Amino acid sequence: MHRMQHLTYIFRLSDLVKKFGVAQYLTKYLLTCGSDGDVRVWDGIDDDDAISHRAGDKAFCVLHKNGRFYTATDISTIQAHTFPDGAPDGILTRFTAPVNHMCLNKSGKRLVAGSSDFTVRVVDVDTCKHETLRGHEAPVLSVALDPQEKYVASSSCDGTVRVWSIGDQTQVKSLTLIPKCSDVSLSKTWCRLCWEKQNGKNLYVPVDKEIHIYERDTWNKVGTLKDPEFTDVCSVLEISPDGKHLAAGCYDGHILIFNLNSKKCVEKFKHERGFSIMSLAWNPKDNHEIAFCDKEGQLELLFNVIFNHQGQLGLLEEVTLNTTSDTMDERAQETMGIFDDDDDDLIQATNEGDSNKKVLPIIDDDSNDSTPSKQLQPLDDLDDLDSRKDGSDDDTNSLAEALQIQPQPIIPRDVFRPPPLQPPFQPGSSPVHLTSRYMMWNSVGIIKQFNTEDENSIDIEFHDTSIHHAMHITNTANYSMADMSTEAVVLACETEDDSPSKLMCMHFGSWDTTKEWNVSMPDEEEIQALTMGEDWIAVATSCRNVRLLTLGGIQKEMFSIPGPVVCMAGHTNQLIVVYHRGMALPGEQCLGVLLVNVDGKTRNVIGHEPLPLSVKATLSWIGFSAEGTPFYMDSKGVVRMCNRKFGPSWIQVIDTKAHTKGKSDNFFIVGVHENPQQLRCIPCKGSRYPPTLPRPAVGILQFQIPLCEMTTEKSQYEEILWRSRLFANHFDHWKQVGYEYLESTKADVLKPSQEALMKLFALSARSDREFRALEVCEMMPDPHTLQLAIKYASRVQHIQLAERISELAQRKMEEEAEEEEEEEDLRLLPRRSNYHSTSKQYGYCNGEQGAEDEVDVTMETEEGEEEEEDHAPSGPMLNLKPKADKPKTPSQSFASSGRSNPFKVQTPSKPVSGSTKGTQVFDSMSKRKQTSPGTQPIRNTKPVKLGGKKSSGQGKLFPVKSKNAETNNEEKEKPSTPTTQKAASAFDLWFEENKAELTEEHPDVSEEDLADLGAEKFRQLPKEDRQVWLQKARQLKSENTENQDNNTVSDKKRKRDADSEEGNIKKKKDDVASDTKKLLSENTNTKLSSFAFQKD
Amino acid sequence: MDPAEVEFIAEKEHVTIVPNFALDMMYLIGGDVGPFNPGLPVKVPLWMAVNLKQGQKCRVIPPDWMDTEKLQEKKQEETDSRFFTPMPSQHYMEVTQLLLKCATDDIPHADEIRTLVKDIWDLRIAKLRSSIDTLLKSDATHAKLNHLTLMELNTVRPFLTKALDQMHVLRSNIYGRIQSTQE
Repeated sequence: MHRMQHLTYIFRLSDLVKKFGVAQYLTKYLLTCGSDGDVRVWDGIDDDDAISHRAGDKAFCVLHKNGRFYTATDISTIQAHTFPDGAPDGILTRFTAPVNHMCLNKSGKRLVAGSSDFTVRVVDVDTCKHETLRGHEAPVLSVALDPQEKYVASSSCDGTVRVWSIGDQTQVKSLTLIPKCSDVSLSKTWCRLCWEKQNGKNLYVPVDKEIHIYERDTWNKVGTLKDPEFTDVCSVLEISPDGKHLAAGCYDGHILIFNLNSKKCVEKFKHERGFSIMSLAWNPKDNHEIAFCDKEGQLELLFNVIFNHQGQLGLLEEVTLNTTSDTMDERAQETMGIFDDDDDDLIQATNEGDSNKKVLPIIDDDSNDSTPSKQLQPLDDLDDLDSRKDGSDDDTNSLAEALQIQPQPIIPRDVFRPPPLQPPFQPGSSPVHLTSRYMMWNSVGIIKQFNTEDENSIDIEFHDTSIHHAMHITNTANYSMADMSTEAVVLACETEDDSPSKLMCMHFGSWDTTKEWNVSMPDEEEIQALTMGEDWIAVATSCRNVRLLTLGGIQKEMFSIPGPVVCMAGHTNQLIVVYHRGMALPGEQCLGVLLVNVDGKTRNVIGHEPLPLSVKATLSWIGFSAEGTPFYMDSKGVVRMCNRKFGPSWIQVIDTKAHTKGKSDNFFIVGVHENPQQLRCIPCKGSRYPPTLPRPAVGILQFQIPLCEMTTEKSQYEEILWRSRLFANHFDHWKQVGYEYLESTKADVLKPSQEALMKLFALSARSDREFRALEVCEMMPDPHTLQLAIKYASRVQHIQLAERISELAQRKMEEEAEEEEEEEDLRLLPRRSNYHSTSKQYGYCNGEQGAEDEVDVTMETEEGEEEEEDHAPSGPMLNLKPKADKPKTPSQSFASSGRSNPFKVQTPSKPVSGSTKGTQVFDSMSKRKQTSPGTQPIRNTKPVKLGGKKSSGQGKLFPVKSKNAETNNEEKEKPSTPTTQKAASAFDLWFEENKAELTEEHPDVSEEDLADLGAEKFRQLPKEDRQVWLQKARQLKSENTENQDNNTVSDKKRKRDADSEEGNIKKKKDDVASDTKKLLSENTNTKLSSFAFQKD
Repeated sequence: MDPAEVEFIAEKEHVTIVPNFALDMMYLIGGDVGPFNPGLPVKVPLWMAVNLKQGQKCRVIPPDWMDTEKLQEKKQEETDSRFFTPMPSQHYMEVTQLLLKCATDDIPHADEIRTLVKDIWDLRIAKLRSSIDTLLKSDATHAKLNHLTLMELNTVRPFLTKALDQMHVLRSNIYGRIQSTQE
């Protein structure tokens, strides 16, 4: 009972600290050797400080007998040493290749060795004479000497096991049993052979997963030892000292013990870490102890192997001892810890009182009975296991030593280890360890770094040579990070020796002569990421600082990020920073993203949001599109873009892996464009990074939003719709930040989405999915397409649908109108309306339907026009001037940028053709002839009429005003011709008056220029003076209108001449336009606007 | 037809270049070219590629077939076949000549490619000669050869047609003389 307790205790102990010796009962030495070339003498298993003897560079085999031990080393000799001292004691024999295995006879006089030179030798230890057994065709794996010393058995890499007769050195038997291989290191099995202990009546051969038994002399197979536990090749065999048991060590770390009588497995042991067993040795005096060495060079001991002869499981204990403190893991394959427990003769030495004086005192130092008290010694130590862990145990000496010797710290298996953090990197670069790598490849150029023994340089080249010529600099400071823009190149290096982390900027775009500057980071602050924008540079450091600098080198804002930086990217004034925001799930990264404006404004900011990555992916690229939208790619090849409209959120826009040919191929992004939609990237075959040579070519990938069922027509249209909308979002962003762009460009970009919408509508309508069709209509941004949809629906006999759409159209119009009114009321809205373009479209759309509808249109055009001018006088308008001026294209004579209108499609350039085109879309799909509005079913006219009804109240005014507008246009088109035929405006009056004076002043100026000059002058007049002229003009105008009440349309043009004159001037001199606008009184505006929205 | 003319025709072939300048779309008689984005490959006619390369305005990306392995295969195919095999490009000879002349630095293994193309050319010309020979020696009035390129045809055409004319004259003379002697 007591014993049982003790044993379980030891088991636990060995589990925790493998190498700590517990057993005190060992009375003999253990000898080990290995590929580290040392032979170690262990004074029992608890010997932490084995005596090492240098045998050679590698030792393959060690044997002890009679106070000498023999080593086989890599110098192909068998060397004898004196036992405890290890002093060389002569060379037994030499081979032409290293000896793999050797064995001695009982008396220790005859030694058999098998070598890699294919020979087996039988050596007489005293005389050093030898006989050679030739016949193997490959290195000999192991040898075994028959106890009767008549035969020698050997196994070899040629796959054979041969039996030789020592007397006449002939081969008695050859059996092909094991797999062939060319070298010992490639063999999975050592094929250690064993003779039956007493008289060698059987030969045991490990063959694959079983052990064959061959009968002496006949060499017939008389049986096998096998067990289901043999899951891998059986490699080493060893017979117990009493000859009753056979231990077999396997490649997968199993040790099985067979009872040779019953031929049954009586004991099983599995190496804890599954390392293959390289050698086995029984304690010569104790049939319950087996020492073994594993592949990793550890010596371990199984003790108290109690076998139940009935085949039941006995108790098995294990203590391990790491033997090869300097054996390298990579050489473990070759490690062959031969393990000589002084073998039989030590038994003899003790039991028989052998005359060997050197061995004797050592051997009987302890009693081999393990007394409970001794065994309990370590137990006291380890009662408090926790304190042991802290290293504060009582047995400090031995433990400390043990810890020092211990080369392979035992990794606690159950301790949670956080997933490794992705190290910082520069997007667009290849890894630093490469000898030639890209430091940066972006849309501006390429920076290459060469880091070989004889060259350490940086090559900078620009895609566009007009930016700057290529540069070649020697990389003395060891720069490893870089970024480039069209203005400058920045390089950064990490701390090296005593020089701090440094930033260098080559500002080639500077107009002065000093183009370079440097900044050193504070001590112990490393630059980890680097990027630059329009006129700034940002560096992120190991101290979690992001430092902003100007291109000229002035240090600006600094801010801290909440975790270690991963990478950064910049564009114009946007800076995006990706960092680790916390501990992630195993295998994942937990990244945070921060998007800021370096000018400090908080608009368009993504503040510390998590960055979504694919499953188990890392970030591999981040950057901005040329248009300024953030994009990134993860290591799974998925590219996502920032959707500013929805969140902001991140949406997958392409899976690059779907475009690769091979599984290990990747794409390396060098640039992203939204208009045209292009992902510029380099296909990398079998790697993540492009090689520097041969120079890779850039390819273009098309984006695709991964919608469901991409094979269906519906999904394809939906994809086009959302993709083109998504990729047009940057226009709105631009508008927000105040960049200029042409509305026509935006319209072009959005065109596919319009078409997709219409097709989607037609598709739904044709397949009788009316509800869906109506949903599509709700997404239609402008009433024109809605009208088309109504027409189409009625044509395909979906009358109900048509009605509903017309209701929708009406609702939308009303909503829009309400919005408009609200704005009118507000007056102080910061942006101008682009109602004009919308209303124009109304016009065009209705224009098709006849003259009556045209009326409607023009009314609205008029409204728009007036409204534009209305805005002018209100106070804060001056600030908005630049915006109003922005998109002055000929096609947009009414300043038309500004307030975003959800229903607007800005195709002002040729809307008429656009409308026909729209119809064509349906026509081409339905292959039906367009019916004229007249032939439409009566019910259909209702929705159409809605528009007409709305306009009816104002009907009479429209033709007038429309013409007026046209005139306005005309006038704008030829602004230089002064309006002589019209009633004079304030300016005209003034000009008439002052013309003479002006001509006098500028005699050499032409008529046109004179007008310009006049305008200039007029504007410079003091306000009061101008007011006078205005009054005059107004008077004149009112007179005019009175006169022309029943006049022709053309006459009515003049009604607003003053206004158009303003327009005229404005056209001439845009820069002062707002001043003149003030001329309109607010009163007029309100009148006009309220008038404009009288629908009934 | 002059070889120069054939070359002129060949210059309409499109090759890919990587420009180092930016330029909008160009609308040429032969078709629209561009837009040119620095660093982004674009297809242009060969003449333009050569011109830009000479002005160091671009890097030429050799056509797919201009690769030692592929040419080696092609050569083997040509050797193994009794007939003409289809060429990767209708103007393989001219394109190779022009590109190797002006853009050697952009084409990996330029020398090997030159040799291989020349080998293929030689093989084909030898085939052409031998087939003309068989044509002349037989009494056939026509022969059909597939997959000949313009340049190859052009090397034999001027001489062949004249020679055939001449032979016709000679033959008719002999025939005439025989007739006259018979009279």
